[in-house]
Amino acid sequence: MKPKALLVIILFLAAISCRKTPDSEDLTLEQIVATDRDLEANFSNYSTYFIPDTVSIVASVSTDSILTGPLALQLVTAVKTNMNSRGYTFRPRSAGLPDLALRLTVIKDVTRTAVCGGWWDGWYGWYPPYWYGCYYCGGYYYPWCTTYTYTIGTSMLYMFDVKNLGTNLNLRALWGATMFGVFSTSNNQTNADLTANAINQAFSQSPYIKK
Amino acid sequence: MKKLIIFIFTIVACTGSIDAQKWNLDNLMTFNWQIATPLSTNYLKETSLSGGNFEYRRFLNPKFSVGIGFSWNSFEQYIAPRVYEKPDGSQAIYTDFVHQVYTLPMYLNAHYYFGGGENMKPYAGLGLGAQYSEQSAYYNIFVSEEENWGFVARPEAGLLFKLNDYFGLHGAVGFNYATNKNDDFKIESLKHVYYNVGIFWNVY
Repeated sequence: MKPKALLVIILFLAAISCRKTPDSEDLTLEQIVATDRDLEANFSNYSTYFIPDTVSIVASVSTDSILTGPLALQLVTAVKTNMNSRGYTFRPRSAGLPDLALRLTVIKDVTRTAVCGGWWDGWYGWYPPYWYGCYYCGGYYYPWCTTYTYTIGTSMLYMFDVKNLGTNLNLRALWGATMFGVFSTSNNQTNADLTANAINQAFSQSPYIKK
Repeated sequence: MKKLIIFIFTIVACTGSIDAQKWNLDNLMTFNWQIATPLSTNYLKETSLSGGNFEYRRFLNPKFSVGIGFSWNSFEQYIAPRVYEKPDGSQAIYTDFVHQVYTLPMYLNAHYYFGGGENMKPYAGLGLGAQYSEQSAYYNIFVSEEENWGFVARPEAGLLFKLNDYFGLHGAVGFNYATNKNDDFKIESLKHVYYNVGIFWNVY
């Protein structure tokens, strides 16, 4: 091969490997908050609500399906504070059926994966039900192999219409918030703080929820 | 674009009597640092300092060359957290982003050289070819990404400044228009103005 052609090839290969690594330090890592509403719902038609003091939890490493204690209370309090500020009144279970019922579920999923080779042919984590790839799983350059551990947290807060409960007892969901993003693998207080912030954001971007 | 036209006009207007034989150019290579500013896209607008350019030019006569070239640019911009709402108001999502576009135009080029004196040689040229591009949106620890190809056209104007018979400095400004399209990110085409600062050497 002629030296000139070799030089061109070397420069070309250098160029295609020059893609800048994204400056991910700018990202807040606060939870992504997606909200969905029933457009036919008139939220001013409801006055009272109920939410249990426990949080449903689904985790790959868990001994229980219910989260109790201070962390659960922190999340439930965040919901109550927002509902109260919008003009709704909490109705205890003993006082009868409320107009609205809310339920909070947290999914904590620990995932591990091993990566070998360059970032361009590395593993891309597909996280259902979305189409997002996990760029933290990009990896290092050949020939090293490495193992990643990361935790994804997804919280779902749904609001149901109890006031208009049908004869078949089906509950109509009026509003839902899905909050997801990276979780701390070891510090659950950090995860609770992230989720509480996300709950506040969910209400903030849903100003139509008001008595 | 207006600045580009003024720049090209200035270069052409400043050309003097050509003395091309003194240059004795045969095969020219140029390697440049490339600064680029994206145009006409809401996806990102920040000027990128992460780019480069390489070209090979073969002179058919003292005033005209043809060759090949490629460039690369890595554009990036942080988008602060905000709420994105569906037009009917039924859904909303809140997040921040790092938007990134990587472009790799590869093209055939042709250049016409004006007279410019003993050490300076202004030129105007055009590159036509294909552009590979990746568009990425990073958020939290996730990424949405798409790659595509498009046709690319690159008019440019520049200046060679000879330091000795086989080596010199190079500067150019040009416009890169490519038909790469990304419906998800609402990108109809990728356009940027680029500025090359680098060196050239004559290979005998």
